[in-house]
Amino acid sequence: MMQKNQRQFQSNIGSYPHTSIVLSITAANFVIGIFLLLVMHAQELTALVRANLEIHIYLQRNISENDKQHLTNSLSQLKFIDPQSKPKFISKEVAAQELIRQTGEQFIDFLGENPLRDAFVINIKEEFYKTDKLKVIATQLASLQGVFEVNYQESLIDQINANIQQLTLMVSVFILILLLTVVILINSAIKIALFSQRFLIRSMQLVGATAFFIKKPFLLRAATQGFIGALFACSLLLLVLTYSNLQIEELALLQDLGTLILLFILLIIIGIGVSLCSAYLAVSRYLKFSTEEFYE
Amino acid sequence: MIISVKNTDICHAKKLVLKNVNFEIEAGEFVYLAGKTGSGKSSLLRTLYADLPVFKGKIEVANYDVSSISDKEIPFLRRKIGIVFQDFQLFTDRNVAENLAFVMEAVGQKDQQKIQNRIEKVLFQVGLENMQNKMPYELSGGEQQRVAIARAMINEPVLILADEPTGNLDSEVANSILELFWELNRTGTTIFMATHQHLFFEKYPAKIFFCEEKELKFVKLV
Repeated sequence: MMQKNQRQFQSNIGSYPHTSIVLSITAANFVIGIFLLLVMHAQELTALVRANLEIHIYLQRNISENDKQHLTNSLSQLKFIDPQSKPKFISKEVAAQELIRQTGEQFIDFLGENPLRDAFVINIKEEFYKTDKLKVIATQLASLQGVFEVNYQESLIDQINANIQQLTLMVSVFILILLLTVVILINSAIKIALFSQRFLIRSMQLVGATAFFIKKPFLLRAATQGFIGALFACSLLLLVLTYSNLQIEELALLQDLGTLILLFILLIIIGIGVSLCSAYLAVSRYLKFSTEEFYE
Repeated sequence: MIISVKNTDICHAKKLVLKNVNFEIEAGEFVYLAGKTGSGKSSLLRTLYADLPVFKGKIEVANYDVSSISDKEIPFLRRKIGIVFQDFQLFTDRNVAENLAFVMEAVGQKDQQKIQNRIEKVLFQVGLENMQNKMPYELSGGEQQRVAIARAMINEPVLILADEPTGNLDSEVANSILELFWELNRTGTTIFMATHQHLFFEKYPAKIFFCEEKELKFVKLV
């Protein structure tokens, strides 16, 4: 009984606080992971919104079938057109029916003729959704044979672009601050843990162990803890994701398995990397201490 | 010559502790280092195993020039020496066998069978067979010091430096530890032992160096 008590007492002083270190790494990685997930979702969402933006190309009246065919061909050869959605042709009759369905007014009877024009609707690649690039595209399209007018919702695109720029800046700053916090958090946890091992490190030096031989087990342990901590964080994130997907079904549309795997790998690298560096620095520091500094 | 100190000042924390030290110890000798607490015994020993820097003079220990040794060479110097401390300096996080194994592994021994055999042999020598799986805190002071001596011996050093090895022990246990050092000396290991227990000098007479008034004096025994 006495021996057991002594063992418990002994294991509390000078021992290595595995649990608290793994917990710190888990917490730090979880927070950073949540933020990255948020960014990932936001990016997918903007991509989705952008991809649904349409450019309308109105054709001249009385355009010949031949010219129309020619235009279709030249449209499909343009490099900025999203290859996943082909240019869609909407004849003025179809457009009129749609307008009548929406407004409920028989405007053709009222006007005596159909004032609408034949049109192509195109979606363009995401990388061309810059305000200035869109202007160039619009001019290019307008110069095509048989085109009357090119139309897109300029204000909406401007708005999206402006918002995304602000958001990206804010999120980047946040992630930088978070990363710094994570480094400081893990670093101090490991530093405190190794502080309790400083006399052990000193004894090892006195029996003739080289610096590398002393460091090795500490580094191995730190890397293992970083890995386990990051794994815990990834599991927690998966739980959060699964739960949110159950709550909001459409959320799954914004998740891409490849990106998720990349995110988890990144977290594991951060976990292992930061704890490895911290342990390396802390042990190196004690290896350079003189006996006097140990007792100061 | 296993230790050679010439015209050396021993300094500790930027203070001069011993002035112009000169002495030599031959292989196989047993030498006491006597003097009051604070007279510079520990500083002298620490300078010998390169834990304190040498600012003046020349020191050679086990064929290493300690006065100009680089940080990288220090571990290799210490492998030639076994060091025994007043406060044992055992690795408190592992048992007796692991304490000894660490020192063998640190010098590059990978053969676990050889390590095990050597551990059994040295533990037998210090009278601690069957203690392999004990943790340091489960042992008495005398037993811990025996483990420390076993650890100092395990790589068969040519020299053992002992810094007040009996300072924390009662006289009976201290005597048995002293006898252990003499037994080691009989097998050919050079022993340089700092102590302030004058009874030792009568019981086991040997060459004595004496630290007093910042000087190292040689006392010949009657």
